[in-house]
Amino acid sequence: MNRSRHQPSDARSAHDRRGFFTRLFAGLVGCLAGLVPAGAGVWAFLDPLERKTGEIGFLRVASIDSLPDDGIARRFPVVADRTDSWNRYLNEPIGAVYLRRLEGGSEVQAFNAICPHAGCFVGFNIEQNEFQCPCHNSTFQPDGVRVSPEQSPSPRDLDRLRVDLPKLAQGEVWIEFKNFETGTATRRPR
Amino acid sequence: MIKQLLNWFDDRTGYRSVARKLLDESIPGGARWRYVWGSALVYCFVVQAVSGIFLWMFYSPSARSAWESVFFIQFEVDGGWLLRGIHHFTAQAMIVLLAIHLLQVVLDRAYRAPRELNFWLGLVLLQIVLLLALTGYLLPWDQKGYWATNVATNLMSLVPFVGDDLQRLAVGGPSYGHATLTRFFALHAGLLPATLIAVLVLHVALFRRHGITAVGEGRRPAQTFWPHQVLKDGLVCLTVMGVVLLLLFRGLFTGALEGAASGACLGAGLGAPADPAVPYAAARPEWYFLALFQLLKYLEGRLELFGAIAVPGLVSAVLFLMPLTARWRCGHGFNLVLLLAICGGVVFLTIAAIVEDSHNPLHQQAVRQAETDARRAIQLARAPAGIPPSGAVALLRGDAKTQGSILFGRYCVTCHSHSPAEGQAERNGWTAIEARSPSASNLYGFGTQAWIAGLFDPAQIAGPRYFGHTSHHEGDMPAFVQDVLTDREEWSVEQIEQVTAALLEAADHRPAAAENNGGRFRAMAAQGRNLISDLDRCAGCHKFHTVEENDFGPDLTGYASREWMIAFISNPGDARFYGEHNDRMPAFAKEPDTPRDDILSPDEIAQIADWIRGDWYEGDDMRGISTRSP
Repeated sequence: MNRSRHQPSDARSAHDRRGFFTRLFAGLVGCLAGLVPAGAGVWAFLDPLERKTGEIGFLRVASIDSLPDDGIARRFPVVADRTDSWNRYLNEPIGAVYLRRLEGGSEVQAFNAICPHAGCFVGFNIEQNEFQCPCHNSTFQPDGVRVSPEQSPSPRDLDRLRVDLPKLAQGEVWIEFKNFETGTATRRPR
Repeated sequence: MIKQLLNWFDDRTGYRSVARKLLDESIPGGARWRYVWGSALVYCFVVQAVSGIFLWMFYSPSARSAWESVFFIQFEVDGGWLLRGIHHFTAQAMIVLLAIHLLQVVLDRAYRAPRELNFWLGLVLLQIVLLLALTGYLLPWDQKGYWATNVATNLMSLVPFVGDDLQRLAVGGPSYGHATLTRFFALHAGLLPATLIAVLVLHVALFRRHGITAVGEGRRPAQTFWPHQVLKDGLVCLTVMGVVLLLLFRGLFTGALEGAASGACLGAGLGAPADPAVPYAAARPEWYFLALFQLLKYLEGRLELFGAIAVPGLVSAVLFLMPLTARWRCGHGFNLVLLLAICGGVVFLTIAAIVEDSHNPLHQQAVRQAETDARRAIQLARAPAGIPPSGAVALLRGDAKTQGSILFGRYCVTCHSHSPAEGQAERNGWTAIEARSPSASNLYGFGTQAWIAGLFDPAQIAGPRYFGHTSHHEGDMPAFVQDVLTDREEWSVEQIEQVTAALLEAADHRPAAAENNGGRFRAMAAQGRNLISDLDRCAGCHKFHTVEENDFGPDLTGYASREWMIAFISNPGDARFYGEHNDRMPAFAKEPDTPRDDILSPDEIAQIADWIRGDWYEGDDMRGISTRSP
């Protein structure tokens, strides 16, 4: 390029034009060469977005006999077959639920044990007869409703899960286990 | 606006002068193709770093998850095959480019004073890249990488005095396992790349300090690095990537992909999961280590130490001393000849290794077996049952198709053959195994329609495929088939067909034709069951369900079914089978209470039974799935 200073202006502009195209071409070639590995990497990286969470359906959690009709919430593990990336696990705990059988009745309420606020595992305090989240102190009544909705960190009540009524009549508790997005006022399945 | 922002940025960083300094380097004599190799290598390293970090997001370094995660990358992750293929083949391209770069530097005398230090840094980079290749080879934890790397670490024990400790440090314990992978992975993705970057920075800085070793200076005007040399460099990098992609997609051109369902069959190969109990006769290092491998073949015993350590050490030392020997008179010429001799030696040894293998039928067979196992492992891993928590290695260990032929070859073949009759179509997946001196029936397709047809054939029943080799060859069953079954007043052809149908039903071996006409088959089988139960016919000798006049011959209830075969293999001398008439067949599992005393475990017997019956998982079309690298 230094040499072009000594050349007539016509030749100089032609030289500059050629220089411009060389630059453009060099830049393009460089970008293209870099894009291939980066593109392949990003393609693979985005793979989790394509994976669907499969429908689990109703699962047997407990027998009605293991659930006294005292209105106290009890924790049960939810066991199901699970695929974790490449491994297939049979009969593994995939989460936990609280089951509660109303006093004197056969109605069973089921809640996902995950706090709808930020996803911590809530506990049930028998003395105070309420669900308490250990992280940000959300509290829920035994029926899952927030104790004071205005002040609760949780944007919604505990997530109720559907109970299979015909199975319940046969003495078994089957629930439709689902996890939901946390932090939202309306619940969205995850 | 953008200009203002850049000015603001420049005021605070001075990036423009840095960029100018980096990009406007003057190249006396102009940009040339011969200067591209260093840049191409830097490009390859960047490709390896980028693809490697993305692979890192999927890879799991443990003996129970390494193969599984690589399998997942290769066959489940979107674009994973492309990512892994790029990493795999760019590594090989890097080795080739390193050799070219070294040759170019020596040819252009760029290693001589004052560039000695930089030449040495380059040699260090070469060693680091070779170590990266060696450590990376093990990470998929497949048979190929496992056994090849085993050889490498075993050779370390040859180092005098500290060899054993050195080996233990590399392996992370007394034998290969989790710790080996965590160690190799930390080296491969952490220590080695970090060292490489540090040395590379020095290498490039020194290169800039000395400037390019110009060729043809004065013949053409000088040019700047940007954009003239960058364009040439970029085109070569693009070509390298083109070649890598070509290798990745080679399946498209060789026709191996025909009929394959998805793109999952492209890219780098994956062998069967590493199993220390399964021999791997096809073990070979990657092609760039083949020369060393071949050298060790020529040098045995004590000379091995010489070949494994002294020769590579000597070659390294000679390369290292080149800048010093170049000071001699004719020193450069000497170096050039030496380097070409080394290259010639490497090329010769590599070709010798390849030629030797291609003329070795045992190696060819081992490679085929390795491919069969790899395909099977991948097929089972892709099955709906998936990979159990005990890892993919359990898939092949529990697979009737794989283990059946091995067990048959070990325990059954001393007496039984397993090979199709002349003219009989070979069934897909069944290995033909020929007994050296058969002394019992040929079990190929035992219990199937073709097999029963032969059993009822008076010309065959006392022949070598049935009772010919046994003490029963003049027994009641051959006599019955030859004398009674041929009597059309006693047995019509249709009745024989009905009995056959009943036996096929008992074995759960429905002929293909029955699929379309299940009703007719069931009706025939029902007739056949009545014939078998007839005390004047089969039930005269054989027990069948509740009908029991004489248990002279084997019980025909569930004949040739899985349960029947397992019980038979366990104890053929049981009253249910041959009883005291049992010829010479041993009981393979006579003591259900003390299974340790038995010849075979219940699992092994089930695998033999399933294999003879052809009961195994056959999944997707496996054509085109690449298990082997070129």
